[in-house]
Amino acid sequence: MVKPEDTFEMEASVGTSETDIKPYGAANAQVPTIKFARKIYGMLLNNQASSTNTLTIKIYDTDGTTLLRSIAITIGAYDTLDISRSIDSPILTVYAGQYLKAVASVASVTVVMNAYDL
Amino acid sequence: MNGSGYIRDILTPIRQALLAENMNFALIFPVRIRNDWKFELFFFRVMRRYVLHRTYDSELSELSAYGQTGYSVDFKYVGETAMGSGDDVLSIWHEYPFRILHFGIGIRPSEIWLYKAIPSGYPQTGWGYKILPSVGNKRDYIDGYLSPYDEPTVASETILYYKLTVYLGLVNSSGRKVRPSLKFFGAGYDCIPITSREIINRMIVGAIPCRFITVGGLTEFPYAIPGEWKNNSVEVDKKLVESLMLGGGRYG
Repeated sequence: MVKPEDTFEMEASVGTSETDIKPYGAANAQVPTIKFARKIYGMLLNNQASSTNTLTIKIYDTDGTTLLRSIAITIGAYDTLDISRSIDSPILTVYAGQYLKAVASVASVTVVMNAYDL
Repeated sequence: MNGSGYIRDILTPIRQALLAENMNFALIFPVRIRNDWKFELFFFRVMRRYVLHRTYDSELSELSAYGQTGYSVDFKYVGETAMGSGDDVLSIWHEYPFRILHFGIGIRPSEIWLYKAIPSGYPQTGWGYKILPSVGNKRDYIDGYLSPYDEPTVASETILYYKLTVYLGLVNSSGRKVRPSLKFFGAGYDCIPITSREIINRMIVGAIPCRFITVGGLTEFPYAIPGEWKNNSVEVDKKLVESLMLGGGRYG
């Protein structure tokens, strides 16, 4: 069973170039292959721009280049989107070997995600 | 723990597997484990016990994410200042030959893999491979799911006396940097040796409650015992066990 000490955050300031979403100390945005999946159960998104911004969350396949999923989230100027779910009902699943990245239509969006690995 | 002393569930919290005053236990050591097996047992009765508790956290270094340089620590003793540095915090003064430490190891976070070598050079294993495990192998480690920090279990059960210490290895299996925390929790016992062959025979067949505890996993390893224990050794082989099960009372 996942306990609080097993959870972690991933933070990034996402601009118009694709940015890795990864935990502290990770070499890259890939979910380790010795895991089963990374479960994201919380998201805090803050649009730092003075106009409406679209944050696109992207999940790439294990080759790092094949785009599997793309999720566009639109946020108003200076708005904050706070999504909080229980550990048992995560928002997003990224499977072992896949990569999690994000890009904004306008610089920048502050991204904080709560996650745990299975 | 039931009256017979058996702990079948290996995820039993260690606090439910500890012994109390006036309970019996036997430590099992391997003499020969290939083909014609033989074990050496030492029987004791707990006379006194006290809680054993120590956290081990600031002494540990941050481990890198899995697969990166610095993601593991090879076998070292548990030192006062750091792994392999300073006095061994799990050592027992030689003046206490009948002091036994009985504890589990709680691990945090759950993705930390803990390996035990008892004694140094002999990693504990339950498998039957020719080669003993190394730190980093996907076998024979205990993680925080098997022995959580707040509730260490029998999976990490460790017995120590003054001639025996444990070396620990660590792996960070997570995708992030982690500074682990460990908790040593159990009890220390002051014991008297049981040497009556009649009593021992009845313990072996289960007629007198006795908790049998394997020392050092299923590895074959050279072990040193206190000089004060030397006359209390009981060798158990197939012939003896079958004889006792049939109601025979002979020992030796």
